[in-house]
Order: sequence, then structure tokens, then C-alpha cells
Amino acid sequence: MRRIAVALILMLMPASVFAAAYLYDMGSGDSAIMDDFTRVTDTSAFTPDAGFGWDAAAGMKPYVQVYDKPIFNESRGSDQPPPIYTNALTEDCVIGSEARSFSIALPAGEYSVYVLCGTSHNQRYQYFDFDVAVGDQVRTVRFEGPYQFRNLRFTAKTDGTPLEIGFGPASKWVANAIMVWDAADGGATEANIAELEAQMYGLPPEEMEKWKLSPLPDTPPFPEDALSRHDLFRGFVIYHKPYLECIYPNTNPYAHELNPTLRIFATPGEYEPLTFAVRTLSPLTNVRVSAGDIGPIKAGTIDVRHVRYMKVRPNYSMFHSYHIAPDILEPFDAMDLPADESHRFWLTVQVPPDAEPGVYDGSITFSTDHRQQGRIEAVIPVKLRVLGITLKEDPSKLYGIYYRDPIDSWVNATDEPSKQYFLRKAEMERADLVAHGTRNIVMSAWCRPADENGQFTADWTGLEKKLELNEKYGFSPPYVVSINAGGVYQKYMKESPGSHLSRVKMPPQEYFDEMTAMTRFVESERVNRGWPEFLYYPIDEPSTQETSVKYMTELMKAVRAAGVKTYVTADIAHDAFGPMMPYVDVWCMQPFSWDRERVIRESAERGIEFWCYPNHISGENDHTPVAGARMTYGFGFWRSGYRTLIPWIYSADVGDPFNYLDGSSMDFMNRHDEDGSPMPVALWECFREGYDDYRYVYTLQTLIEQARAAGRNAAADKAQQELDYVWNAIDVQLKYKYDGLWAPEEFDVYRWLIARAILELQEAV
Amino acid sequence: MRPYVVWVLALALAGCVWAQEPVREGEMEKLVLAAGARPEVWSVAEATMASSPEMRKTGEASLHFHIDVDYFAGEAKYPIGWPRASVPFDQPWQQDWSAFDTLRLWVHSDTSRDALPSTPLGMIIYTPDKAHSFNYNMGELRKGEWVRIEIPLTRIANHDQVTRIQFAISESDYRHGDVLDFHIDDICLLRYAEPHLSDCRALPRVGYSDLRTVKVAFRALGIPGDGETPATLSLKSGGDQLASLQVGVSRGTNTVPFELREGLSDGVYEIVVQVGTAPPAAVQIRLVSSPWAQ
Repeated sequence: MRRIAVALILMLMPASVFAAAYLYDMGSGDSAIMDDFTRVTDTSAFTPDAGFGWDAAAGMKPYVQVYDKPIFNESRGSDQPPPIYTNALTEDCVIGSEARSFSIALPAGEYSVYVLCGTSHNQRYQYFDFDVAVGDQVRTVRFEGPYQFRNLRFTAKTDGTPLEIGFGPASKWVANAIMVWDAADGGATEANIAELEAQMYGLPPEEMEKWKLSPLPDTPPFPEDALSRHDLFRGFVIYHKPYLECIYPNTNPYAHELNPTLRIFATPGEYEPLTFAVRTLSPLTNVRVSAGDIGPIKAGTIDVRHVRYMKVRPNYSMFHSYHIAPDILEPFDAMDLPADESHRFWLTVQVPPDAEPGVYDGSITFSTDHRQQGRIEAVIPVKLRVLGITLKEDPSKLYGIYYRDPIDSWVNATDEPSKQYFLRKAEMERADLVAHGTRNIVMSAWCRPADENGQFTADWTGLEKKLELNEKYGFSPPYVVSINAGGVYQKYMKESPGSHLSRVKMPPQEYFDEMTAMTRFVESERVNRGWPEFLYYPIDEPSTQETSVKYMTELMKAVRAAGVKTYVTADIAHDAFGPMMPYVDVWCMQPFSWDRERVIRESAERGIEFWCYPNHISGENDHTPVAGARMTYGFGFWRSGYRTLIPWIYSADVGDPFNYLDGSSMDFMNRHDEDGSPMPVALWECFREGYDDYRYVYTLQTLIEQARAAGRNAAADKAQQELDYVWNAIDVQLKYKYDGLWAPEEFDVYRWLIARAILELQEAV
Repeated sequence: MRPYVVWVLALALAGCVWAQEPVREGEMEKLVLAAGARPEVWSVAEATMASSPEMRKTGEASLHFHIDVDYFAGEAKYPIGWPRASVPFDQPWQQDWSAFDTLRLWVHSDTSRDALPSTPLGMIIYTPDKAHSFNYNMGELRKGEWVRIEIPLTRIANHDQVTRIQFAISESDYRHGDVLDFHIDDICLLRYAEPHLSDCRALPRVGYSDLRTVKVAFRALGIPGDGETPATLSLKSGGDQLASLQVGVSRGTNTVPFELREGLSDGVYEIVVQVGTAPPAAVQIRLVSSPWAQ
């Protein structure tokens, strides 16, 4: 199969083209070599006879991992695609921890140089941070772990002495291939590199052929009549749609959306999206977006991003169907835009906590190169109303999230720069979580099954660090912690219980006794170390099969026997889970399955809590149900009566984090930049807007109570009337996603109705 | 069999295939997609499908979808499974629903339980495959009642390439031993025979009083052909007409930008849509002074 893949690549890359170039494929002594390339290993020291090689054969090691066919997934019981598909260049690499240079003997002349850096080998705890230098040109390469490949381009002029390509690591460096060719003769080589990159950043041609592209959504006709001569001259129009309405490449504006004034309102300390879109009439180059001061908001604090289109799957586990959708909010300095496409720019502003109430003006400038004027710009006016309101947070609610904590990589990283990177990333992500209203994460209190003496041992280095950071960033317990129920099951049953307990059999009583003992051990560690409250989470999403429920019932009973609270991800609306009811303290389910009245009644009568993990708006599908996300997080949450939202997941990568078609499933939610800083998807920003909606609601509820206590009943009644108006406008649903939602522009108006009532009530009180 | 017999049968079959014409039912035209007389065309798993002349809503018989919820039977890997029944739509007139407005069917539910769960029965419409399908949970079903299910075809993407319709339950929504009897009748497509307006909405329904343009979305039904029909939109307050707009609208969903006049005060306004001879439709819009008003 590997040979077939190599052969296919070779068919696309005529040997005669590459033959004119100097081509080196880094790897081991027996890994595959791309045709026309020369093998380079960690022992390939430079000699004049060879005409290429390292300055010293030390401080390097080759790594090989071939991915050329599906892999059997034991848990799922089926073949799954590999994380990436490799070729002869990407399946192997040389990784170095010392500064090294690679020399190539060349005739005097001018050359183009292409260096490919990445690894298919599972270097999950490695942060690559290094410089590549050719002459005085230096490029810095930074990325985390495997499955990502960076390409670097240089120009070089030689006088007959060997060309040197230097690798200088801050942590470690990695190289897959080096290509050098005559700068005047590169057209065909460029074409072959383009083919290589299409496969490397997408899928191999024979795989891609299986994927069917779905059409873009319908859009209104382009308002040709509304175009001015100036629009035609500059080659674009600026327009605005509410950010809860997705913009696709083919989206056309309505005439009334052209040349907008952007208007937002916010309270001190509050974040707010500020978006506009460009519909190009001709190709635009060197596009830049900059913001000036907007009243109290200083230009330098405004986050400017472009909404990147991605190839996405309709559902995370689906194969061979994809479409183009708006996705990542990517930072940029300058970019080119093709003709006849719409692109949204997403700015995020935060009103300073000490900002004075009032209406302020500002502007955003969109600029691009212009064939006649050199540079042309459009100024978009901005109006900001700062409200004299301090938003309150409902202490009875909790916003959490499932989370792959970089601290786990921090524990396992072997070099200091990688350790620093993962720690920094963990801090930046926690800061981002808090900035989005989320102050709780799911963690693990994993320990080995009991030894022959019945004793448990655990390494709490990671958990201790996580809890320390959580406290530093003001997180709110209780924390859901998974425990090693699967490992103890394996000990007694000598097999895995399977995905969602699909193969579970009833274990002996000793198993449940050990689970009680393990829980007691973890809980005693928690108490002794002064850690916050845990909710014990032994199994994720048990199935409704009889043995599964019987096992879960005994397991939850056993865990609870340790005097702790239990947590399960199961839909209480499924009658099959009924036997578990007495032993579960927190039911966490995907939809708002039970209505508000029942949730409140059952919570009061049985003392159980109802949490929700709304996968339908957190990356289970594509990242477009933005209005559903805001409704779920704000007005819908308010209406549900549930205590907590805790979606799967802040970020999860499968294969290349910027390729959603590779791997066994689509990547989930937010991405991160090369320095580890969060790169959000629009959904994540809409979580925050929903969170803010609920803060407005709660602030008004609190004020109404205060007004009544102060005897201002008429004012309280008026405010309550407005709150009821919003309440009644909600079309209550189990899952807010696309249908039955408010129009995108209505969300802010409903929020304003509440804000206005707050302002009036503040005056009255 | 003699050749001419084959030809006669083939012609008769072709007549069945191509002669499917809608029939008038009140102000609607109706095309039956599947009826109770032919249960044998359904593929059924972990359940039974039979013709039921005794329990019917419209025609000669309904389809009786019977399920004994069994946590231990069915597929070995998923004993708590998904009893289901599906029928392929392989004729062009069954596959292209674009000339119609609504999918309608009737479902009667009976069960050994006291009441149905919140997800009692699901319907999946393949457009054209499972990866591109429309899923509908019939949460509105009630024990012992005939319930009409009506789904505007605007909600079903790719409804011009329907290849299959399936009904299914998830046994996990029920208890072991539950007995379910769904009677499904008159699965049909409907369209208005005369001009008619539906699903009229103002976008937004609540907005700032300096809002200059409101989008009015509605479905114009019963309009023949691909042409346009004149329509009038009027903005009214307390019986006074404040603004109006003449436009041409076509069959199906229309979204018309409607210019409001300046200087509107806070309050509730009415937008009236008149299309051809259709009864007018009215929607309300509430306007409130904006946060930026000085």
C-alpha cells in the first residue's frame, strides 16, 4: 500500500522535473525514499565526494511512522482512517536537539530552497521551536507535536562553496526534506510542490476522490443596482450582517446592508463582537484591517481577525461528505482575497472596567492595494454605547467544559522549552476560558488499580498543577473527575468493557469493592491536600443495554459508598437508566430533556442536579450553529432550569489540527496558534454572548427583587413585564441549533430590552 | 408468459408510474406517496408492518407499525436497538417533491405504557442518502389520538432528490416489554391549488425604531408556473397605512426587504402582505428606541 501511495505521488511528479534539482529526503536507513531524492540519515556527515551532508553526525535521531491505510480501532470494532496519510517525504524525518547545518555542494549560481519540517511520529509531548537559516535569511518554526508540516522558502546565491542550511533549536528541530533548484528554472518544480502540498495539507488524490462537496447555501441576488461607481473603482463593497448569520464565500449582501455603521452596546468589562464583511468585485491584494480608538477602548486592545473558510464535515464522525463553512477566527497582518467572494472580519472589543457610560464614536479601516491608486481604503464608522450597568453572575449556575489540559503534556515533556510552552498554553487557555465565562473543567484523578496489598498509589503532579492553575484563574468547583473504573475492570475481567460499555459483562463483587476503595483513596487524598469538591465520574456515556445499566447501577452505588457525589453522562429521559437513579447525584445530558418545571421539582425532591453537555452546538457538527450556541448559553439556559452547561470540548485535534477531513473524526472547536495562544471558532465567541445574555437577565432579576424589597413595586412590575416579554418570546426546545430560533438581529434587541429595564430600575431603586 | 402479456403488464406498470397525478382535496392538491394497502414494499427490522383496514384516517387502510420492545433480541451487537421500517422511493414522481409545499401524514399511537416518551417515533427522509437526510422527531404524538404531521418542504433540504423514508424508534427511549402500535396513514405531498400565504414573518420581529429596512419572509403558495405574481406590503399602525411596497413574488419562500419610513416611534406595528387573490397575511413588529438614540 505504501508503495502504491509512493507510486501515485511519483506519477504526479515526473522524474525529469525533479532530476534537475538537488533533492534530499531525511529519514532512517530503510524508510522509503521519494524518487529522484537522495537519502539523508542522522549519520550522513558531509564529505566532498558525497557533495551533501550534516556538519557532524551527532545530536540527531531519525523517526519513521508510515500511515498509508486505515487502522483497526479495537474500541469501536472497525477500521478507521489514520490520523494523516503520509508519503515518502512525510513518513520519516530527522529530529535534532543541537544546532546543525546541512551543506550541499552546488555550482555557483542563484537557487530556490524549500525546506519541509514536520513529523508523522507521535511526538505529542514535544514543542518544536527552531530557526532555519540560509545565508542571512532566518525563518522561525514553531508547532506542537506530530502531524503538522511547515514549508519554508529561501533564495540563495552561491559562489561555488557549498550552500549551508542551518538548524538552530530552542527545543528541537525537525526536517523531512530539502529541495534546491536553479532559481531560473523552477516552474515545473513549483507545480510538483503544489501537488505535494495539496496532498500534505489535504488528502491523497485517491482518498479525496471519495469525498463529495456539498453546495453552498442559497443567497439573495447581488444588488448590482446599489453599487456606486466608487465601489466598482475600488473593487469591493463593505457590508454588515449580524454575526449570528453565517457568511459563506457566495453570500451576497442586501442593498440595505451596504456601507454600514457598526453599532454595539456593552457594560464595563464586557467583551463584544464587532464584525463586518467584504464582498470583492475583483481580486484584492495586501488587505489590511485596523481599528482606531473607540471611545474608552484603545485601538491596541482590539483583536482583529479574519473568518477562515474550512472544508468541514456535516458531522464529526461522517466520511466522504464535506462543505465549505466559516470556521476559525484567524489573526492576520495582511492577506489576499479572490474576486467575487464574501469574507467576514471579526473584531473583539472589551470595554475597560472603568469606562464611563456614554455614546462614543470610532472607526475601522479596511485597506487594500489598488492598481491605480497604489492603496485604497474604506473607513467603517463605529458607534459604541457604554451602559452604566455592572453585570451580576448567578451563583447557582456553573459554566464548565470538557478540556484536554496542556498540563498533561507539561508533565511528560522532556525538554525545558517544551515544558514552558505547555505551561504557558495551559495558562493562556485558562485565561481564555475565564474571559468566556467558563470557570470549570473536567479532569482526571487516575490511579492504578490496587496492588497485591490492596494499596493505591498515584502521581498527582498533573492534577495538583491543574488545580493550582484553576485556583489562580478563579475557577469554580465542584470538579468532575474521572476515575480508573476501566483499569480495575481490566484487572478482574482481563478485557476492556468496550466503547460505551458495549462489551461489558458483570464483574465480581470484588471489583465493586475495589472501586469503593479507590474512590475512598482519591477522596482522602483530596481532603488531605485541601482540594475542592470532586464529582466522581467512573464511566462516560454508558449504553442503555441491560448489562450496562446493571453494571452502572452497582458501580455508582459502589462509588457513592465512599461518601462522595457521583456524576454520569446519560439522558435521564431514557427509562432504561431508571435503576441508576438512586445512586446518581448529577445527571448530565445532551438535550434539555426534561422541562423546567420537572427539573426544578426533581432537583428539590431528590436533591439531584441536572447538567447539560450540548454537543450539537460545540463542534459535533460543523461550527456554524452560532445562533443556536448563543441561545443555548443564554436565554435557552435561563429557560431550561438546568444548573450547568459543560460541553464537549474546548479543543480536540485529530491528525493535522487545520485539516478537518483527515483522521477518524473531525477536529473539535478552537484551534491554537503556533505560540499556543487560543485561536477561537465563532461558536466559542457565541458561547460568551449567551453567557452575557444570561448575566443581563440575572442582573435584572436581582434588581426586581431589590425594587420590591424597597417598595418600588410599580417599577418592579414594569421591569418584570419586559422580562416576561422576552421569556415568552423563547421557543423552548430540547436542543437549540438552527430551527425555531430568533432572527440573528433580534438577539441584541432582546438583550437591550433587558438592559433598558435595568437602567430604568436602577434609577427607580 | 407470452410477449404481448409482458407488454400489457409493462404498459400497465408504466401507467402506474407515470400517471401519478395530484388529486384535489379542498383547497389543496394532494399526491399520495405511500398508502396502507401495500405494506409489502416496506423493509422492516425488529418490528412488523401490516395493512390495517380497521384503523384508518383517510383511505382504505393505514400502515400498522407494531413493535414489541425487547432489550434482548435484535442485532447481537445492539440488543437495545432501533426497530424500523423504510420504503424506497425509486420513481421520479416520488423523488422530486419540489412542485409541492408540504409533506403530510397521520399517525395514531397506542402503547401499553401510560404515555409516550418525549421521543416516541422518528422519521428519516433520505435526500438522497443517510448522510444528507432530514430527521424529524414526532414529539407531538399522543397516546390514543390521530395526530397530523405537517412539514413545510422548505425545512427539508434537497427535497428534489428523496430516495427513502424511514420510521424508527430507539428502544432506549422505552422500557423492555413495552408494546407499541403506530398506525401511519396518508403519507402525501400537498400544495395549494389557489394562491395562499403561509409562514409570514418579519425579520426582525423586534427591532430598533431607527430600523430602516425590515425583511418580510413568507411562503407564496398556489401560484402556478415559474413566473411572478404582484404583491403589496403595507406597514400599518392603528389602522393608518404608513408605508407600502409593490413587488413581484414567486412560488415558494420569498424574502422581501421592506423600507420603513423614518421617525417611527416605539410601539407595535403591523405589516400586511397581500399576494394576488390570496387572503392577506399580517405580522407584527415591535420597535423600541435604540441604545444609541440621543
